[in-house]
Amino acid sequence: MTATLTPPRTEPAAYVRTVSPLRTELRRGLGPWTGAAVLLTVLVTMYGKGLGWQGRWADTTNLLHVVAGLLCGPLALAAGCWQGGRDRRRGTTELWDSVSRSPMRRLLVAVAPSALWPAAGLLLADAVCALATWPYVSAGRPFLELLAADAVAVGALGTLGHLVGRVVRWRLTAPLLGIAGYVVLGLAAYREGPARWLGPAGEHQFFWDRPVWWYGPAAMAWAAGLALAALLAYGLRTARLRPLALVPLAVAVGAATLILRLPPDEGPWRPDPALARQVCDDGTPQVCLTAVDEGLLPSVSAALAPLSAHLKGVPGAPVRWVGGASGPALPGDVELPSARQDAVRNRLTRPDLYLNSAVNWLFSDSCRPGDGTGPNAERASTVQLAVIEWLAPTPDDYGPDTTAARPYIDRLQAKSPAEQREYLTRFLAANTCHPDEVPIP
Amino acid sequence: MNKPATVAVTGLTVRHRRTVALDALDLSLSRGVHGLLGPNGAGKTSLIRVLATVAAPASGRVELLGEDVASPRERTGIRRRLGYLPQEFGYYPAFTVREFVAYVAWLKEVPANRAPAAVERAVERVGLADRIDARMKTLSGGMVRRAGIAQAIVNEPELLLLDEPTAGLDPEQRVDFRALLRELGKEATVAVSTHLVEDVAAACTDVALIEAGRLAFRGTTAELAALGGESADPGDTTTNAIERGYTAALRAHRERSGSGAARAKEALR
Repeated sequence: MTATLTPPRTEPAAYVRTVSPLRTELRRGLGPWTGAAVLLTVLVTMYGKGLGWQGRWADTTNLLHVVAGLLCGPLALAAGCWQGGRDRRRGTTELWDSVSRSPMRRLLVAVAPSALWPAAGLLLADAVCALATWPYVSAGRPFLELLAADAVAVGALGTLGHLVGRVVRWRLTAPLLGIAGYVVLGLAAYREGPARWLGPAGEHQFFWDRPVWWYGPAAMAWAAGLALAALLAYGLRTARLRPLALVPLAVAVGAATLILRLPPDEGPWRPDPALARQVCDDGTPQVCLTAVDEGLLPSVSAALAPLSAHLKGVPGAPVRWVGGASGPALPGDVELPSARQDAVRNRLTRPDLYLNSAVNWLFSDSCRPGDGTGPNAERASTVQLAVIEWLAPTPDDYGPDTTAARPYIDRLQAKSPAEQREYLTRFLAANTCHPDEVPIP
Repeated sequence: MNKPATVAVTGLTVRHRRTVALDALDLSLSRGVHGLLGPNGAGKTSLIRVLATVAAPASGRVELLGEDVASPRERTGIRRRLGYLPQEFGYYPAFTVREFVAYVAWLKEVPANRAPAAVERAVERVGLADRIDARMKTLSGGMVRRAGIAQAIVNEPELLLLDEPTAGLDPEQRVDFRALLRELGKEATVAVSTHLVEDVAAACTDVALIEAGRLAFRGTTAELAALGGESADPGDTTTNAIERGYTAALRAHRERSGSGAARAKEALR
């Protein structure tokens, strides 16, 4: 120490590094690790979900929303709580009690990593998933306001966790708070009623809807208002200033009141005609899907092509295959199974399975109780299986045993094209609920 | 000419639950280095904590740098001009020395344009310039203590309170630290709580000896050494003389307290 004891008090000529306390807080300690953990949690979970979400903004937003609320929220709570207990663990409380900077400003800087890093990790993961979705969506736009609301909610949970960590002097508080947060957020997500839309993980399953414009900002005001109220109530030490905490609390309550007035089932979601409109290809029969799945049309049409070739010109054959929002609306419309759940990046992962499902749907009549009985019931069922297997063979290891249907399948395959068309005409005219009507090949 | 008092304590009483840590203590300190000596549990740390505005007294008046500690507004002003190294110095291990000292500079409201240079100067003064960008967790115990001293002096305090500052320092570092103390004492009031009399002998201009929450002795280090009398050993050092003075002052105080207590008991009968 002697050598450098009294350096001259001149202004340093060389560059002197400026160190901002906020930047230090954000760079050091648990904050960056929390952000990385949130980022990895979201990306690994989204990847683990099979990439089927990449085709629709609603799928991507919804899955990100649930992952943010159910996994990142508890993570932010626990990490914030651990960060909040730092001064007690490190024994710095005594020193900080002797400084002049106001407790509120100290708190704002100290809480920054707990609030900002989880939100930043989530936003980065959102951006990655949005970029992964972008090339494959057919209509609509990402619901950025909902993603922003998720980030605010996760940041708010980090802040609340930080405050709990400051107040509760117990080392196990952080993990237990994370677990409790997971349970509470999970219960809130699956609760019936409008209160569900206050929670940060309420799931939505309608893919051609969009949220009302004010829902995102209201959700942000609700989460941020609560966190800020708690922050001010804790950080403002003087009784004269503490009522300021009522201002963000009032904003939070106002936003919550708006959200609670939403319809209990669909909440903020409203049908969007631009997303739900029908788009069809030029084939025969036509294949029609909702605009939100337009990118799937080529893949679905290609999968149905062998069937369309068999049915071409056959009386009673479908005029249009219709999937998605509107469903069969005209005579000759036949409903298609959902293609999106079997598709990745606008390609059907198993076109053979999809074709088989479409044929099954084509021949599935709505039977009444008592239908499908009688001495010919078993034979009719075997014949129907034979027709399905002939038109769209069930892939190996899927579907029923076809041994009994094999003779009928062989007979159908042995027929001439004209005989096949004649048989299909008779089969389509029959009601499969009445076994006696089902023609034998 | 007497220097104006920067610390003026009158009737200071501090209680920890049922124990009286400081008992109606009167003390004034002015510019210079002051040693607070006393046996373990005498009340040195309690006094330092009150002076650091960390603990509130049960009664008494504490005026620091001409301002009243009891007034929140004046207390904030005092804290800007105060440096404090607690006995148990806590720090953030992931911060570098520069970041930690800069953090404290911000907490002490050192103006932002002066803070970077103030940080470098404080770190240089404690001899840690070559480790300024090392993480705190990589420092040895002695280096951490020096970083603690750096944070205490980063705002160039007018009142510097150091509680056992040489704990963990090796003999060479201790020698350097005492030189730093003498340097700081030229412009500030430095109160050093310690149980090491050699620190007092080497660095302090005067001594306050505290025993059982009361002031047992107040005077210069030379006066304390004189209390011990002459040693028969020709090789005796100044440190040994102060130790003898320390012991003599304590015993005299205990006798006075004992006879005072006996007189009080007698009067009660």
